[in-house]
Amino acid sequence: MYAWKCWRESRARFIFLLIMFTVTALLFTLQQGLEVRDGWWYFDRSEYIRNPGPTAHVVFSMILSVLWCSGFLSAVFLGATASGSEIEPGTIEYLWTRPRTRASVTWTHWSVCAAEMVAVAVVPIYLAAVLLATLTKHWDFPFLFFAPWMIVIVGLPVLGLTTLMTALRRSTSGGLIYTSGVVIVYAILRQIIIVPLHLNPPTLFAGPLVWLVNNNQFGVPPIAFPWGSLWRAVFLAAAFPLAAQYLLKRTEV
Amino acid sequence: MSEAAILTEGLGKSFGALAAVSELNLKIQPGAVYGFLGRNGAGKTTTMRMLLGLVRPTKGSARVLGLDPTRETELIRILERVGFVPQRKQLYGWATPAELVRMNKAYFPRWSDDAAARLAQRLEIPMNTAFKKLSIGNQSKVALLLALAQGAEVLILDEPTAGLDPMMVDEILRTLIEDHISQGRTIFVSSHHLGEVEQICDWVGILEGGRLLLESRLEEIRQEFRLVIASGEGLPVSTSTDLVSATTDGRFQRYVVAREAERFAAELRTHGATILEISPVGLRELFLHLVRKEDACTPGNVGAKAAPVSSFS
Amino acid sequence: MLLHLNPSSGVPVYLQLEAQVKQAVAAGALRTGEALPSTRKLAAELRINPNTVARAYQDLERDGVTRSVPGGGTYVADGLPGLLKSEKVKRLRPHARQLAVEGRQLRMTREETLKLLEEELDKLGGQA
Repeated sequence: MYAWKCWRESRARFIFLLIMFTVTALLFTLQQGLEVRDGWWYFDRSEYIRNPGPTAHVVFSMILSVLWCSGFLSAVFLGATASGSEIEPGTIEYLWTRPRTRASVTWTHWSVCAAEMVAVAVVPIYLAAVLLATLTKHWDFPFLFFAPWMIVIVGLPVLGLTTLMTALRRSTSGGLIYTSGVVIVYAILRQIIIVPLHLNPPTLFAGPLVWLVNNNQFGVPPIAFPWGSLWRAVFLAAAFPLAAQYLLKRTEV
Repeated sequence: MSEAAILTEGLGKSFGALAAVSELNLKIQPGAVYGFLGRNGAGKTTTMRMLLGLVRPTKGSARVLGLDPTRETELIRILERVGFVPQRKQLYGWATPAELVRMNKAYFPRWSDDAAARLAQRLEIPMNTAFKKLSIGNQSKVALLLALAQGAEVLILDEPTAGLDPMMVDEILRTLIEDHISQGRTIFVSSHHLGEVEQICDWVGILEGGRLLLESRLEEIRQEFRLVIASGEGLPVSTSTDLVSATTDGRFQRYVVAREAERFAAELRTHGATILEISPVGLRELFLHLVRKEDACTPGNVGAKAAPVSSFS
Repeated sequence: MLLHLNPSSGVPVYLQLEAQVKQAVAAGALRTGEALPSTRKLAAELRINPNTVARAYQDLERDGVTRSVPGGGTYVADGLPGLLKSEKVKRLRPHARQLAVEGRQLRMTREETLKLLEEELDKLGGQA
């Protein structure tokens, strides 16, 4: 079935991303206690027990500093094999002559990718949280528990964008390049507008992630949750794939 | 009155200014084996793609099993009952044929594991080698396997034997006859292997420049079609619907007539021609006579369905 | 069954099949009561359309060369007992006419044509 095909095809990339982020997160978690003495590595748990709160904050900042992009990376690398990408290689003649609607094909792929994206965000952070809790004997890390979901919410619009770009460019590489291009150009344009004009417009849909990062910093007062950004993220997460669905329905091969 | 398995009415497809298919009228009855012939680029693949919803017609209509492929709900029902081998037999490179079979099987309740196993063995397909590592011939065989074991009522095959060695072609013919034709299933096949088409098809349609030049039962081609070679100057040609093609190379005129060759020859004699030969015409010869560029071809549809034919002298 | 076909000879395949079966029966290669392969099997063996085989089998039965049994199966019939002499003559005359016409067109003498016929009959052997 097509879902199995999506999984099988993305398996290697998924496992790579999962392992990379999990190892990073776990290393960052242990980093506070690692030291070298007389040429050997030692692990010293004392810091975790003595200062659980600050230690947790430091660990969390380090993890977020790398894992903030897991949503984007998953979206781009896992999503670039959406059904539009099969047009140029030619396998689309097989796929679209199976008795399934093109919409169900598009959304099946999207669902598999979204599930993988969730796993890549959740597993490293939750494992790190469990490890941290074990080390500090402290279980109160609310940010760590909903951090992955902020990452996912911000990644889903990019997944939709990738789905749309592969449908437009009709290949995996084309989809990858165009999605990256759009994201980069958008970021640059945004900077160009902000800096000279001293504006500070709200982020399009990355608000939740920004909020997460900012709220974790010492000495910075907590800011209000950016609900506008969140709803825009949800809207785009649905709008992009729907646009892809509409485009693919009318595509001729 | 059974409804046609494949029906097209004035079917046309243009890509910008290029008319790939024009005014195509096909009526293929259930159980028929229809050979769709034509040069590369004649429009055969485009026609088949229109039947399967991969391309939308710009004119006219097509129906498969009475259903309209331009409507998605009906198209799904077509795809449940039609087996398709595309021209470009590309499947997922990372998958082995065994995995591809497992993937494909899930779509079709009438899938037959026995038929699949038998065919895999007959065609000598390496079932556990990744698709991208297979030779092009083996890749084609896998595509065939997926369609032939599906339990489809109608098979639409776009050059199924391209690139295969004669023994494999033979095995495929055998499978088509045993498992499909004998069961009364419809086959719509395009092929350049005219010899094989001649063996198993009961109908033949010849497409050129997007238009159907000729459509006839093969038995009629064998029994009635004749090549008449005559010599003479300025021979007029009657507006006979039986004239399929008329060409000249200066001194000799070659006519392919769909029936009553003797009467046609007699008519030529009254204009002072000398008849040099009246002989049966095989499918290859007929095809070449019809599509050769330097031929003064008679467009239209003769043989089984008489159509207006232009005259010239 | 040892049958071979010539798809481009201008003779329809079903007629070729009929002719070869009749020849086999006449030469004794196919004996009375012997079963012919099923339509489907023969078609698959020869790689031709089953309709073609079916048509040949139909004609063979009409001509009394074979008979079919209810429940399936085609068998060689025994010696056309049901056919009247007049019917046999009627069936054979077109072939005789064709031999005569061709012989004349090729400008062979009557003796040469008759000799040819005798040679073929001798080759069949067996039956008087």
